[in-house]
Amino acid sequence: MKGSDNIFDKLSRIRGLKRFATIFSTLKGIVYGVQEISVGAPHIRDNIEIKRYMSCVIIALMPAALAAIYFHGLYVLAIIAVSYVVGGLVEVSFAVIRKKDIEEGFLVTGIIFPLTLPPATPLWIVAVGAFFGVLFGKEVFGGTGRNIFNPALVGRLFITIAFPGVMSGVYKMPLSDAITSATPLGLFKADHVITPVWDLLLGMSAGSLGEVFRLGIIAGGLFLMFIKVSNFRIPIAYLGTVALFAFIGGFFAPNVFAPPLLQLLTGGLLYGAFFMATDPVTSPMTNSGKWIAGILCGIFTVLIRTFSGYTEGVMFSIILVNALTPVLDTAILSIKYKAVKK
Amino acid sequence: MKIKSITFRGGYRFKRFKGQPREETVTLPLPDKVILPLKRDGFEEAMPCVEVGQKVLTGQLIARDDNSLSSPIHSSISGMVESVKKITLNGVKTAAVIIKPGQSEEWAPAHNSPSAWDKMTEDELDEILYISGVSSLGSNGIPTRFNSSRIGKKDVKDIIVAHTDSDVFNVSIQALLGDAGMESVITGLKILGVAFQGARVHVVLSRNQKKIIKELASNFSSDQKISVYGVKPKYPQDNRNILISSIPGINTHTRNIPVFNLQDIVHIYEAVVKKKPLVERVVAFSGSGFEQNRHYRLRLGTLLEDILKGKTAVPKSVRFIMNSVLNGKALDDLDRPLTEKMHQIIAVPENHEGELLAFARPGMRKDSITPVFVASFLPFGKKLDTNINGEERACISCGFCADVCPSRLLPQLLHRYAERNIINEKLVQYRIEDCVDCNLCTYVCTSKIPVAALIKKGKEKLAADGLIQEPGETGSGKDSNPEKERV
Repeated sequence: MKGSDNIFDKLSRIRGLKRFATIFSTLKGIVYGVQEISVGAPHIRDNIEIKRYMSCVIIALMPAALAAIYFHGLYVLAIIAVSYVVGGLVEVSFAVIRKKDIEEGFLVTGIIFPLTLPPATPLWIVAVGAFFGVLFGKEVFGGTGRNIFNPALVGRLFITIAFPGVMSGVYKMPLSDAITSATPLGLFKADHVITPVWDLLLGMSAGSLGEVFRLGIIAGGLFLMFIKVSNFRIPIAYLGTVALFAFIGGFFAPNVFAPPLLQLLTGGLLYGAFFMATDPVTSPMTNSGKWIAGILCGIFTVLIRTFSGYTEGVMFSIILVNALTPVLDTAILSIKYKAVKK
Repeated sequence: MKIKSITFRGGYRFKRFKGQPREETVTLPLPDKVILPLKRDGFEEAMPCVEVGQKVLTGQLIARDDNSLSSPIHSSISGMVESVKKITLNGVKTAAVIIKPGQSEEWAPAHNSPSAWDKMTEDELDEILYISGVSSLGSNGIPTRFNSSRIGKKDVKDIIVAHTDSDVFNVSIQALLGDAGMESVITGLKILGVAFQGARVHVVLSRNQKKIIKELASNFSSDQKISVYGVKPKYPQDNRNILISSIPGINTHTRNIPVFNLQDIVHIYEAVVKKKPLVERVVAFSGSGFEQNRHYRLRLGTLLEDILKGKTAVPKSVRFIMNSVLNGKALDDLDRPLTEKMHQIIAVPENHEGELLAFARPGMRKDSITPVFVASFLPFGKKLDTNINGEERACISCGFCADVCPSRLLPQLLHRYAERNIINEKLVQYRIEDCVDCNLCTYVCTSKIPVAALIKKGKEKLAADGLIQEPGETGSGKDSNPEKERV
C-alpha cells in the first residue's frame, strides 16, 4: 500500500472534487494512518493520537448511549444521527473553507450533545442545537482547541432557553411512552420525594437520554480516568464538593437541600462531571486550576439546584466555570510564576 | 552505608522496548584505517606531533597542545600515519590524523609511573588523567592542573557519576566492564576521590541494579566522600540538570559539576591502573533495525560505515541515531569516525507506510503514556519506528506534556507563544529557560505538535535578544527547588 495511489488521493485529484481535498485527506488518515515521519529528535513518538483519544471517550459513553436506546427505542438512534449529520456538516464546511483537516473533536461532541437531551426532543430541535453548538460553541472561536465553551453545552443551553416549553415537557419514564416532567430532582423540590437509589443507578427514572443509566456512566467515567484520557481532578472535586455542600446545607436546612446521595445520583451531575466538565480544551490547564474548577462547578450546581427556579444546575454550572476558566488560568499563572524583576 | 533513594517529578519510564542490547561485548577485527579528529567535542584542536609516514603504536600520542583547552589524542591502532587533513565533524572543521594499520599490534603505555595507583600523589594522577586523553570525557571534561576543562579544579565540590538505565535503550553495565569486572568501577571511583580531594562523588544508579548498588555500597561504606543513590529509571534522569537538582545538598547554582557515566569511570581505571590511553569505546547497538543487539568494543576513529556494514536487519530502511532516540542526533552521514562521546548507536526502522485503521487496533506492541493500548497490560516487547503515529492537530490541552515535564513547566502554554511568534518576557516569566531539552513533551503529544522544537525556538530567540542565558550555558535554572514550584 503506497501512500500515493490510494482511493482518497485519486478522488482528491478529480477536478470537481478538488475543493473537498481536505475531506479526502481526513478520510485517508482514518483508513490508512499517517505516512509522516519524525524530523530530528525525538525520533520516536507515543502511539496515542487524537483519533484514539476521541474513540476512547466514545467507548466510555457507550453504556449510557446503549441504555438510552434500550429505554427509549430506536428514536434515540435518530436523535444521535441528526446530531452527527448536522454537527458534522458544520464542522466539514468550516474545514473545507479553512482548507484544514477535519478535527476529530466533533465525533465526541456529536454524541455527547444528543445524550443531554430529553427522550422526546423533536428532531428539528436536535438539529438546531447541534448546529448552534458546533457553530457558536466552537467554530466562531477558531475551531477545536480554541473554544472557550463546551460546544455540546452551548447547543443544549441554546435550545433550553429558546424552546423552554418543548424542552421541559419531553421527559419520559424509561420503557414507557408516557410523557412526564417529574424528574427525581423535580420530585424532591416539589414534594420531597426521594427516589430509591437502585432506580437511580439503573436508570428507572425520568431524565435526559444519557444521564439516567448511572451505573454505566460511572463505569465509563472511571474507565476514562483510568486510561488517563480524562483528568481525575475535576470529577473528584466536582462530586466531592456537591456531596459536602449538600451535607452541610442539609445539616442546617434539611428541607431545602436535597441530601448528598440524591444530589449525586440525580440530574446530569454524573454525566456532566465525568464527560463535560473534564473536556480538556475548556478546563483550566494547571492541576490546581482543575481542582478549583471542579469545586466551583460543585458549589454552583448545588446553589442553582437549591435556590433557583431551575431544578437542574449542572449545565449552567459547567458553562459558568468554562467562562471563568481563562481568568482562573491567568490568576494561577500569575501566582505560580512571579513576574521577572529586572 | 545507607543507599539514598532519589527521584524527580515528571518524566516517563520507557519499558520493554524490543531491541535492548544483550550483555555480551564483541571485539571486532581491527579496522582498515582510522580517522582521528584532533578536536574533541567541546574542546579546541590539539597540535599534531606525528608526521606523515611515521610509524605509530596503539596508544601513542599523536597530538597535544597544553596551551589551549584541548585533549591529547592517541593513535587507536598500530601502523603508519597516512595523512593529516581537514575533515568536517558535526559541522565543524578540524584536522584529523589518518592511520593505516601495520603488522604489529603493540601498545604504548599511557604513563610510565612505577607506583601502584594508591601510592600516587594527586599531581601524578592529574597528569595521567590528562595525558591519557581520559580528561576529555564527561559533560565538562575532567578538570586537572592542565588545560583540560572549563571548570577550575579547585572549584569542583561535587562530581556526579550516573548510569540510570532511564532511556529507551540502555548500555548494559556488565558489557562495559572489562576483565576486571566491578573492580574497575570501584577503583575508578576511588581514583576520582583521590584526584579530587575536596569534592564529593555522587554515584547515581538505577535502583533495579540491586547487585551493583550493593557491591558499591559495601565498598564505600566507610567512605564519607562517595555516596550511592538508587533512582527510578525514568527518562530523563541522566540529564545533567535533572541529576543536579535531584541530588540533595548540591549547590544548584554552580556550573562546576562534572558529570560522568560508568564507561568514563572504567576509562579512568584503565588509564591509571592498566596504563591504557583512551583509544576504544564500548558501543551498544540497539533498536530493532539491527540484526543483533549487542555491544561492540571498537577503536576510536573507525568509520561508522565500516562498523555498521552488514549489521542491519535487511531489507528495511533504518535511521541510525547517536546515543538516544529522544534527544540524540541522527547519523545521516556514516562517513565519519567513531568518537569518544558515543556510547550507543540505535537503528530505528523508518516507517513512511502508515497502518490500516491504526487508531482502532488493540495495539499489542504500542507504547503510550496512557494505557489506551493493550500493550500496557501485556508482557510483550514494544516496537518503535520513526512514524509520528498521528496527524498534527490543534492542541487540546490534554496536559500530558505538563505531566511528564521534568522541569515542571507548562509546555502546552509555552508552545502556544512560540508558535505565534510571541517570544518575549512572558516566556521568561514562565521559566522557559528551565527547559532541559529532553523532548518528552513532543514524544507524548496527542496532537503530534513539535512542542519541544517550538520551545527551543523560543529559547534561542530569547537568548539572541539577551533575555536569557545561551542554551547549554545554563546551570540548572535559577529556582530549581521543586518544593517552590508547586502550586
